[in-house]
Amino acid sequence: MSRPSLQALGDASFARSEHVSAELLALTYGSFVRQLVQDYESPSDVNAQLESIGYNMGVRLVDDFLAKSNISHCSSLAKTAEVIAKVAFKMFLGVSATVGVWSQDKKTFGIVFDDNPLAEFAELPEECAGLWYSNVLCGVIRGALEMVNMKVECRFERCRLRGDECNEIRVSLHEILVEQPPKGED
Amino acid sequence: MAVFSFYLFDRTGTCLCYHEWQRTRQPQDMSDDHKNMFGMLFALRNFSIKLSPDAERGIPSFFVTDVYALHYFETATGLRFVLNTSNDFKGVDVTHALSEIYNSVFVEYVVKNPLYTRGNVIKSDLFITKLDDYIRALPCF
Repeated sequence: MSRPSLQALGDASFARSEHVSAELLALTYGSFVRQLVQDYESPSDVNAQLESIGYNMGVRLVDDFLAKSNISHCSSLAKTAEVIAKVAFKMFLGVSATVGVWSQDKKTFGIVFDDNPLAEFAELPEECAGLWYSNVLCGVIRGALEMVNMKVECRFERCRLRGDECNEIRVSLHEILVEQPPKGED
Repeated sequence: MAVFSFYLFDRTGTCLCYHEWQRTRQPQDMSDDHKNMFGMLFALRNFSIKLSPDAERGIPSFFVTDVYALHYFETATGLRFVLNTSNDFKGVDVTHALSEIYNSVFVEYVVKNPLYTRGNVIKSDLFITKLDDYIRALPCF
């Protein structure tokens, strides 16, 4: 599938899905992060919690994604990256992302996006300097890719809340899981 | 025309859901039946891909015998949907119906059910009811 058609697929999937108000989403997510910040003192613990919540979402969301987008199979990591950026981001967040710089070994790529509906009204106070506010997205990507047999690690590289000019999530592929044959009787 | 049975397996071979309609010959042991079905599909699928000119594709969508047909659909997440029907289903794309079951029944009533844990047998009555409705509405039922 070529670039423009992935874009079109993203737009079509977005148009088909049910929408919620961006304010409702941003405020719900905001108060949720705030609660986590209160419950776990260290920002790195909050990051880990957000990631693990995201993972549980990704594990489910991937089936919804595959069903709605009609994408059945990605032949390469490059194509997977394009599909996440062009179709999945559009479908679930309503924003288009682009695939950023690839690492030398072609196993790590960036997903770059400007607008982040989760962080629409957020500002990071100084004591939360170590917080990756939208870390839930990393978990979603990790969970979703694990379900299609790709073990990856995701982390935020840049975030506009920290003064960077765009948001970037780095995704690194660790291994492609191989399906095991069913166990025998003995 | 008749629909005999439906199986849904996950990647590990757990039978998440089994339902039957007009299955005339009952297996002696249901869990053996599920195991054999999954094993057969696993082997058939992998061998079909080996025969294929394209290393990534070649997954069977159905096979027909002199009395029945087996229709197969699998998702990228490793779910395998199977429907056994009589072999006179001509003109009906049952594999497509299985993908519809994934889209509008499984995703809606299992994936979006917060009480469902992945990999467990599906106990939701709502899912079973919707599945039953969908199958009964098929032109090949």
